[in-house]
Amino acid sequence: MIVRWALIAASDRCADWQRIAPRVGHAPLAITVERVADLAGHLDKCDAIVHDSGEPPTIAEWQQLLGYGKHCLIASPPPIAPTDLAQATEHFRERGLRLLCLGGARSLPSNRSVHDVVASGKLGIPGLVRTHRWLPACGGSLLQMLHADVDLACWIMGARPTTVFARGVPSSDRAATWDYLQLHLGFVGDAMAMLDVSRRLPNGDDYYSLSVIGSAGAAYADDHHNQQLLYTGGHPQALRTEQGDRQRLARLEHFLLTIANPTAYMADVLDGRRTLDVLAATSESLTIDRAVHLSREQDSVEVTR
Amino acid sequence: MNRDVYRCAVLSVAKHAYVPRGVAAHPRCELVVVADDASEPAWVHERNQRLADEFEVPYIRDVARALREFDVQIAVVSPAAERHCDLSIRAAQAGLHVVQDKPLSDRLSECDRLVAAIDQAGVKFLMWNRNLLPAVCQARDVIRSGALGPLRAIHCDFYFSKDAGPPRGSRRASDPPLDWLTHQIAAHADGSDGGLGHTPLGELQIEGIYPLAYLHMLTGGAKVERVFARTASFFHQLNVDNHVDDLATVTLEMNADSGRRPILGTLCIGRIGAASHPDIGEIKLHVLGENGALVVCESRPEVAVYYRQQPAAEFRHRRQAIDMDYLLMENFLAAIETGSPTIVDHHVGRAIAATVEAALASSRTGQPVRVDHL
Repeated sequence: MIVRWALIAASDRCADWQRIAPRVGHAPLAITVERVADLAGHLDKCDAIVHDSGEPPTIAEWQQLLGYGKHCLIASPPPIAPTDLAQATEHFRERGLRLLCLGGARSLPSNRSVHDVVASGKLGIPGLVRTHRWLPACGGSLLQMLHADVDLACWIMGARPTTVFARGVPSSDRAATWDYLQLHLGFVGDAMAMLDVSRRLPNGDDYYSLSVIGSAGAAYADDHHNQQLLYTGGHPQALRTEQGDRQRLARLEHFLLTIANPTAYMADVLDGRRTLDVLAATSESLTIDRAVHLSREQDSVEVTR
Repeated sequence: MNRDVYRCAVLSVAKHAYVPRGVAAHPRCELVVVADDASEPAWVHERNQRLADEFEVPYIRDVARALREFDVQIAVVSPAAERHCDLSIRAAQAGLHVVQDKPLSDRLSECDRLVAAIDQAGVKFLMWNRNLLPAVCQARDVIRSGALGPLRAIHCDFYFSKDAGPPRGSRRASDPPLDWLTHQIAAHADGSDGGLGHTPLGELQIEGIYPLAYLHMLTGGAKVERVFARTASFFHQLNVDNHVDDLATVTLEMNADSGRRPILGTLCIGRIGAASHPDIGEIKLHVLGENGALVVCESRPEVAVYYRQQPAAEFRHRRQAIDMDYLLMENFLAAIETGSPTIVDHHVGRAIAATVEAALASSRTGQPVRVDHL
């Protein structure tokens, strides 16, 4: 099955995607544009769309993307309510299309390594997932930025949490938005997760860490461990050694897999619902200032090719 | 009154002896007697005698007599956890300054009794802690310098990669549950008997003092007002059989009601098993301020050493520049001589014990719980 894909990306990201495009068999990169609207005249050239503009699509762009009737991979979710995103996913599914919103945490090579070692059983039963995601100042919804790590935590635990307790620090200028959120999750079987996200770092690099404590072992993936030192006078600068193209490639390969394989997509849809449930509970916990308890499982879903 | 050398009485050393040894490491502190109640069991007397022999001092099976007859100014208290406060109170009532092992107590009511006794006696109290490790001091100095701006959030991972007997699920249905005290007595051999006592204690109660004391110091004494916690007996059969945690996570809300700038925090703590880390365990601090952030590994600086036939229990990474014992006692002696508070005094210890108790209550109820401060 050949899937021709279109890339909508900011100019500084195009080269990254174009570099990995030849590494994906049977999926030629057909066209590259910078804005969602630019694709309108070229829809006959592509079967799927990858959107990575560095910012989530605006509401207008989102509507336009939905209207194109193509499989869509978006790097960041749009600024809409979780229920609206779920509705859009359902809309795609009914039309035999794929809509994937991969925040990226799953496809980061180090996170995949951690997941794979958990899945192998070498760490025993996972008992605790801990992440820190600290970003420089940026726009968008901080709750949405938790999406990637909630998804990651559920993926590693293989389950949806049953308890959600969230606390946050509001933005100083706008009380209705958050600059910092921390999330405390409880799972069936006593497992737990602690996630936090901040957008208060000074301009520059972000920071990320993931650790998993299992009943028989542990895994630690931490930017702190992966820094090199640059001496130019005074205190040295810490330089992170990046993980190359593997994250982007993994993201694209998975998207193409779901287009070819309805079962893989069904799993993604269920995982997506699970994450949205947790984000909704997070929002509720912040509002009521209490822990929110979720029922244990969710419905099945049918996915068409 | 300032003295060249302070004479110290060790009141029970039923547990590991690192606290009296730490005290004795200071050139102005001299262990002159070991004492305990005559009613203690034989194995306690045996351990007390061993330390007395090591330091070539008498062992007296009568605490009151030892305090009366040996001209001592400092008591070093390291018995089973349920006796901590009682011995410390008796020492304070005799006019001695007190250095006590953790935890403060297994009961908040005992902590309250201790606070009253110390305040009434006007003596100094030091809860043994790790706040003066080099990396923690560096974190403190960075925060105090203002480089991060006002703090917004602080997180501590405090994992000890030690085992506590056989793993969870290893006991056959026909076998009796593991006995807490029996295990703790046996664990003395490798120094992992921090929970020694008749009352089973979870990791949060045994070790929680360390990370919570970090957070207290690094936040400039922020008050934990509400907590939400999850606990589990996840790794060890001993903890399962005795219904105490070996893994816990706590959300901390600090300063929310006090008019000071609110700070959020989290603590992840566990005795995660020897297989889970090459050294003592992953112990890290993550600090977020208005203007910057800091990530600190508590174990550094360290030296890595690997060689053929290296014993499995030998740490591969050796901590360097550890002056903690000396610095703690410097802090304690300065408090005695200048009237300043100790780095973790009885009020801080009590606040930490109350935080732990609230966390355990939260883990039972599934909802946040307010901390019961005096």
